[in-house]
Amino acid sequence: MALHSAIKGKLLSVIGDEDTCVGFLLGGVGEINKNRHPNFMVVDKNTAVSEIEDCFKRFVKRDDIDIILINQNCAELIRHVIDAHTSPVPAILEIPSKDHPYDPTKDSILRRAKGMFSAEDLK
Amino acid sequence: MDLFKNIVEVKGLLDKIYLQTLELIEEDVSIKINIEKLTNEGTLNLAKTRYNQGSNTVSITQLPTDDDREFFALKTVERTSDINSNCTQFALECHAVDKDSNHIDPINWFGVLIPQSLKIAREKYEKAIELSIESANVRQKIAKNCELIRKLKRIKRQFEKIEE
Repeated sequence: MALHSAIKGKLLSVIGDEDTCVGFLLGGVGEINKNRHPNFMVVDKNTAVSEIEDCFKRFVKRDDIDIILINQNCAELIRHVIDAHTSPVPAILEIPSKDHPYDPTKDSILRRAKGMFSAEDLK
Repeated sequence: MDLFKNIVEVKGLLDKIYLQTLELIEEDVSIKINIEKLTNEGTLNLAKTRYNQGSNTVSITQLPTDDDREFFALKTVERTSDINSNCTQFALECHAVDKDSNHIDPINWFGVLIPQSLKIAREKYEKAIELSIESANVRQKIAKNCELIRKLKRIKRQFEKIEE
């Protein structure tokens, strides 16, 4: 496969529950940059939906983040924002959490792909 | 439209891309199931550590906050784009622990004596990160295919209008 235009060292960011954030940070994706901005957000039962939405939008705007990992249950809360994001970078990845198993029917990209398969088009 | 001689060619290519997209969706779902397995095992090992060391030994209170000094990620992604398909792809980059360059080992946030269960949890999450990159690449291909399907459908409609 021909590859070109390598841009180095972009981040993975995490929005999720305590175990997801602790686990992925333990795996080595965590960073606090020069401006003291972390690339992760811990969501608990007291976190407001607007806070998740603001954090997600902030991560999308940051040019040092290429992949946003978000628990699917958190993604459900801000579905309209995730559905509106169509740019390939940063890539949004909905991941399962311990209390919420992965459900492909809720996933934005997979729903978009499913929409391509209409009975009319398959004639 | 000039690329195709007739509607049969367009339909043939559409069929191929539909099939490829279905295979990619299947691949993505199976990667997600593997991520789920790994994170569940990781979570179980975090719970074991809490059971042995105390409930607050592995929690958000150990994670760095905005007040902590800067440090860099040990795992980053390298972005490339495929010349042929113009599809963005990601590759995982691993950096060695080096205090001078602010690459710190995150396991040290949770104490000096590291229990085996925490080490196992880290391994599970490291594998989950690798799979996440794989999933991101598959999803880029799915998104690209959707774009291509939309274009081909437009061309197909143009042929249908001519035939009418």
